[in-house]
Amino acid sequence: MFNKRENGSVETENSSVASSARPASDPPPSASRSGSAVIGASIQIDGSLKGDEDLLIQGHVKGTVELKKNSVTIGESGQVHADIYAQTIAVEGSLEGGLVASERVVIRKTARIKGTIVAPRVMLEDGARFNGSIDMDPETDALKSAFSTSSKESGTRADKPAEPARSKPTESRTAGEQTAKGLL
Amino acid sequence: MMQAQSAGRGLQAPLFEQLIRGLDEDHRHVVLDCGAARSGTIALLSELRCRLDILDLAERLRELVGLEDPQQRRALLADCLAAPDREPVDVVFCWNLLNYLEPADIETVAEALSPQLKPGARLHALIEYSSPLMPASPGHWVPNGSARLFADQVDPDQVPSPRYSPKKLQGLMPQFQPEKTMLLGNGLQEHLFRLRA
Repeated sequence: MFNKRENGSVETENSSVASSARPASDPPPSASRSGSAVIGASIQIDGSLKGDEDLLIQGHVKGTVELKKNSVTIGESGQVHADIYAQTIAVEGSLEGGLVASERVVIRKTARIKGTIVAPRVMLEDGARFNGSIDMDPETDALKSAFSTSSKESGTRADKPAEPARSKPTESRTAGEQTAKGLL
Repeated sequence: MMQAQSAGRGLQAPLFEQLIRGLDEDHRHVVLDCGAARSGTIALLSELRCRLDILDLAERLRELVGLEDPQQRRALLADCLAAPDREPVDVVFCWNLLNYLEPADIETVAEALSPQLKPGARLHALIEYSSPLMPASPGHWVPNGSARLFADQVDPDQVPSPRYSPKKLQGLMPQFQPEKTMLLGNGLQEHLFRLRA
């Protein structure tokens, strides 16, 4: 392996390439979620959503969702045209907009996304359709500004993160290095 | 051929490995992947301070089929690649794309991409070279944690491969200077280009 960032491991669910084990902290699929507020499949919301509990979206949401200390799941029937700010975000349905998560974003294989993702850790299941950008730089200004205690609660779109200000320590790259012999 | 690498240890692509290892961990990098979003690519790059832009051009390539007017082809490709607000790019993954483009299309792609890149940006490509046939539609290359590439969703149907030579590619992409080229064990040719100053 190449070096890992100090503050997190890498999770993938590609059966042929990477570990298929789901980390214990991954948001489970929406069908098994309990204790979350639910926006049902027949509900349509246009506006700003804020709160302090986990949310499962199975309906239509347009606008902004801010649950910065909680998890948001877009279920398989969810259709979201919004910017979402949360601690963790899981997508199983369709989304057009921006996702900003302080911890992680999980994109399930049924997801259809067009937009931007800003999160220090991102996991994608092969089969998901994604068109846009994934910013995994933990130093990006977009992440800092969205989750800074001094920042305004309104949040900002994170599609153009600025250059980060701080560097992280360098680790050795010797582990896992391989020779290129035998290929010519 | 791509299928030969779909199982087992994957394809060792030394230039890709070198490219990834050369990315400075202390700095932010912007990577543009012309292919589809794959778990392995995200996992590999998540170890760096990285922004990954995903174009998923294979989806749009279907629209090129049957489109014979050069101007319409050019407009479609330019539209696919347009990104006025894109953060300048350090690295482009162009793994399967060039095999499925006509020479004029490759010129269009190079023209459209080059203004979006940082000075000295690099473009990595895999070209069907030894084999006269290739999968009829582009599959996916998925890197693992050691930057080995695994073939995914390989089309069993085959079509003649264009077998672009390094010299031909240089002529079609004058904005890029060839840095290194390697013939891989499976007959693919691996290219690493650098944006000319």
